[in-house]
Amino acid sequence: MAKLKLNWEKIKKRPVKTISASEALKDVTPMKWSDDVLSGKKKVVFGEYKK
Amino acid sequence: MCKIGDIICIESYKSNGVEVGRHSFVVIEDEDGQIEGISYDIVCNVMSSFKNEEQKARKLRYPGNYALSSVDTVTNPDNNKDGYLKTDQLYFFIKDKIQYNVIGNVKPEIMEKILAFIQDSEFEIEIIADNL
Repeated sequence: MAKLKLNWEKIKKRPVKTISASEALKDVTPMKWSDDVLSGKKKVVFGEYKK
Repeated sequence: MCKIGDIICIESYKSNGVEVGRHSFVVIEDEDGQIEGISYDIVCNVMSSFKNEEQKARKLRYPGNYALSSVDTVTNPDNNKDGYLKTDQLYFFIKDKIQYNVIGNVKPEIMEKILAFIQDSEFEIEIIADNL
């Protein structure tokens, strides 16, 4: 697989605004990881959303 | 070191001088660049979990949110099997200024879809660069 790369030229053509992290994070519910994940013993892998 | 598709857990960082607690992010850019004249070396989307089914349905109607599922439920509490990326929000970081750990990754074929989703959609992009 070719190196994954975001096409910034497309992004630059979009409407863009700057906000603070505290404003951006106000609706975010942090993921809760097990101690094994946080300590590096186990890795999480995410894939396609399964309804 | 981290690369596109890695899931990183940032312990804390400053936003306009205010400490922001632990959050998880997916790396969507791993090459150096500049935003608003300031250097960065990674760009991320924040991960969020769902509080309940009603909130999940509401969040997934929002055009910038991209849902993901854990492929390994053993490593996660059941309530964290699913989550979503806020792909309309791009967080710019300098790695040396944050304390982070790589805790996993998004499968490459899904990451390819996420990058295409970000660049080909029409929703407004929000830039978060107040920690640079």
